[in-house]
Amino acid sequence: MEWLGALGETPVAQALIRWPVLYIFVNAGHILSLGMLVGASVILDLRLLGAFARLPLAETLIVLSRIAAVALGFAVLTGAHLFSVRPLDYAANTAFLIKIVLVLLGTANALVVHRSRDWQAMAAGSPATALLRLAALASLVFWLGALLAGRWIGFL
Amino acid sequence: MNRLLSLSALAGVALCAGAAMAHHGWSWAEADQIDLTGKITAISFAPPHPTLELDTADGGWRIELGNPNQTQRSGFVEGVVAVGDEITVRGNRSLDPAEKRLKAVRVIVAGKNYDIYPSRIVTN
Repeated sequence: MEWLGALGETPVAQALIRWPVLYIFVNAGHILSLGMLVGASVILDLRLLGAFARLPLAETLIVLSRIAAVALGFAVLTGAHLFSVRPLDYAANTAFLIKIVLVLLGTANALVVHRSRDWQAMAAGSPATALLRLAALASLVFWLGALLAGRWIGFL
Repeated sequence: MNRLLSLSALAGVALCAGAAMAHHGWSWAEADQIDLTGKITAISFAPPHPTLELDTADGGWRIELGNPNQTQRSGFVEGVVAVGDEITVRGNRSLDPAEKRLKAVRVIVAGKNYDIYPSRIVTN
């Protein structure tokens, strides 16, 4: 746990502690990132499950999955900065740990789906398979769960 | 997969250990205010809520201050106190009687008041 405490002494963490305005910007960046991530993912998942049938399947899914991937990158980056100001507190926060597990599950799910034959076929014009729909359901649970657990951090 | 497993294990441990984060709002705290006096064992001005640990006659307490700007406006900034200093805090304790956690409205250092939530301070 020592290396975790040392994270709070890094220049970046110290700057975020010294200038609350900086923290607000990073915090807002985190909210924007996770809004884009969860927003894109939910629409993508619902499209796979049969909603918004007017949207072309392959084009919609390819664009939304890219948006979600970039947003995830920014969410992790901004999140790491927010974590750095109170590393020991967050590491001991049950909601935070549950959120991290859900984010890892959501990311693993997306990576597996992306590499699957069903996704490749869908991108080439085939309809969504039962397996893809199942993964969409799992994705909804993971990302919405991560959002809820994240909000819970400050209320434990 | 190993990382996932160890993280879930960590989450399990944390469930038993209990969390130590700053609380949002006042819903978790009692309406009545108490005074606590003790020695500071740790202090952090990190957002979202600066906190300090107080070693009192009643054991260790976690004191939660306002948000960083509210705390700064009260005059209670870095350098006002150091670990080892004896201070008094007035505030609202957790609704859970087993939890030694206080939401501070005022910090008193060597007779000087730092009012973090001036409108909430109950004076007898």
